Order: sequence, then C-alpha cells, then structure tokens
Amino acid sequence: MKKHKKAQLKMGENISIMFIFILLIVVGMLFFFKVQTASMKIKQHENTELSAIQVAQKASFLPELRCSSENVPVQNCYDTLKMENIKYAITKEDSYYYDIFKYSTIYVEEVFPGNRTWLIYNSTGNKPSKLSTQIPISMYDPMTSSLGSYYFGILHVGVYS
Amino acid sequence: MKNRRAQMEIMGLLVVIILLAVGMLFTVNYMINKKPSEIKKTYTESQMASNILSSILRTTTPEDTKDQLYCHKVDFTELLQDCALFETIQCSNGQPSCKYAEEQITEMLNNTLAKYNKPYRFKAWRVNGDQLIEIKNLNCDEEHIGEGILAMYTQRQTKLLPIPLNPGTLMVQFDICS
Repeated sequence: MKKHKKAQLKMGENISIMFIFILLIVVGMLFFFKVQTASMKIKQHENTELSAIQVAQKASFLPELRCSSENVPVQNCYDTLKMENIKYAITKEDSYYYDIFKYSTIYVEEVFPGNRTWLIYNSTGNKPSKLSTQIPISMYDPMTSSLGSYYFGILHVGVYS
Repeated sequence: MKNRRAQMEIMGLLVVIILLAVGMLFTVNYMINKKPSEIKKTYTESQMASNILSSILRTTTPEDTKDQLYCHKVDFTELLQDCALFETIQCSNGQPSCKYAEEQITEMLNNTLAKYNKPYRFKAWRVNGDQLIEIKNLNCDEEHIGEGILAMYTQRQTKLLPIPLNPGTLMVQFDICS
C-alpha cells in the first residue's frame, strides 16, 4: 500500500514537471512569434520607405522632364514645357510608367513667383495609405524670354502601399 | 528532510521562471523602445537641404513691372551678391536687394519647410564681414546646431555654398535641424 502511494506521488511529480515544461515551451513560442511579428512589421515599414525613396529618386531624375542647357542636363530642374506634355506620353505608355512609379501620385507645385500645379503621374490603385516625399526643385520656363526663367517649386511624390 | 528537499526544488523552479520572465521583459522593452527606421526622414532632409539652396539661388525674379514681385529678372544669386556689395538693385516698391531677397526667401521657406513643420535656418554673410540675412524657424539656431565648420560634424543637414564677390566671398548656408 505504501509502495503504491509512493509511485502515485512520483507520477504526480512527473506530470507536474511535464506540465510546467510544456507551459514554458508554449509561453516561449508565443513570445517568439510576437517578437517575430513585431520585427516583420518594422522590416515591412522599412521596405515601404525604401520603395518610396526609390520612386522619389526616379521621379526627380526622369529624363523626360529634366531641363538641359546646351545639351547638358541641369541638376534638380524640370522643364515646364516638358511637364505640360508628359501626360500624353504617360497615357500612351502607361504600362512603361507603371513599372517605374507603381501606385503613386506625382505632381509639381510652383512656389515662387506663381502658384501653378502640374500633375505628372497618378495611379492610386485604391490603396489606403500613402508615404509622401517632398523635394525642392527648379522649374525652367524657356518661353518667357531669350534666356528663359527659373521658378522655385516642390516635387510631391506620394507612394501608396 | 524530504519536505526541505521539495522546498529547494520549488525554489529552483521559481528562480528559472523569474530568470525567464526578466529575459522576456528585457526583450519586450527593447522591442517597444526600438525606434522606427528613419531612412526616409534622413533622405528627405538631406535632399531638402541640398536642393532648396541651389533651387532658391537659381530662381529668377519676375521682369514685368506690373507684377507685385518684380525685380528686373535677376536671379537670387545676383540679388545676394548685390546685397553684399553696394545695394544698387531696386526691386518692387523701391525695395533694396537685401530686403527683397530676405522677404521673398522667407516667403518661399514659409510655403515649403514651415508648412511641413521642419526647423530650418538660412544664413548669408560676407567672409570677414557682417551677416546679411538670417531666417530661422522653430528654434533652429546656434544652441541647437553647430556653428561654421562644426556644423558639418553634427547630425543636422547642412549645405554651405560660397558665392564669389568682387572683391571677397559671400557664404550662404542652409540647415535643417531634426
């Protein structure tokens, strides 16, 4: 009888150790998955930011819009005449521009001396969140006089994700 | 005796659990306090600082005298050069080059960086001479950023451009503070 009770006690002890061990493993796994999800979210946010930067870079160096002086491209400058006409190229070659800009909205806002706006590209894809980047640029208007004029503006690039 | 041994075992188990809990707390604390990536912020600010200065200096003022903002179609580089020398250029409402440049640059920055709540400072001065223009927003001043060469060693985005004068040199600096 005594031996039987001792065995039962031993069994109980083993079961409780197993239970605690399994509990610790489950808690550890839950914790690990939580941490993994958090780092995945951070990584995803980083990737979205990187793709926003990529689109902003591509937009600011787009050869179709860049102004040039005697065939030498002027850095950080858009030609107003090219901005007026880019919409025709984008409508005609929409898949080509989608490969470059994906789902984004790109427009140029004149800050000085006027306040005009040029829409360059718009494809929202019904996506809710948007990461916006603003880049100051010069706009060259070749039509004002023999030398043309430079205006000050902001290039707005909004990337949807 | 047996009772004491059982107590010791429970104590051991408790120590293991406490150690695990402390470890988890540290990890959770690290994950919560981990600052989100600032790749985009750094990129935007560095682009802003370098592009804004070159774009402003390249901008041409309107020629038409009917325009409220006219200043004989000179660009802001010429305006600042004139401001640093003899102030011979008279812009709209008889404004001298210094006042016109300061007002228009303030307006441009108010419509861009101030709108996005970015602290900034625009400064123009003659080397070995007086300060000509200083425009700042949201405490972006000496206390928050380094001065002169030191500014390049801080984490602030700084762009410094020398403009030749006859005689001398004009320095134009633009900072974006974080």
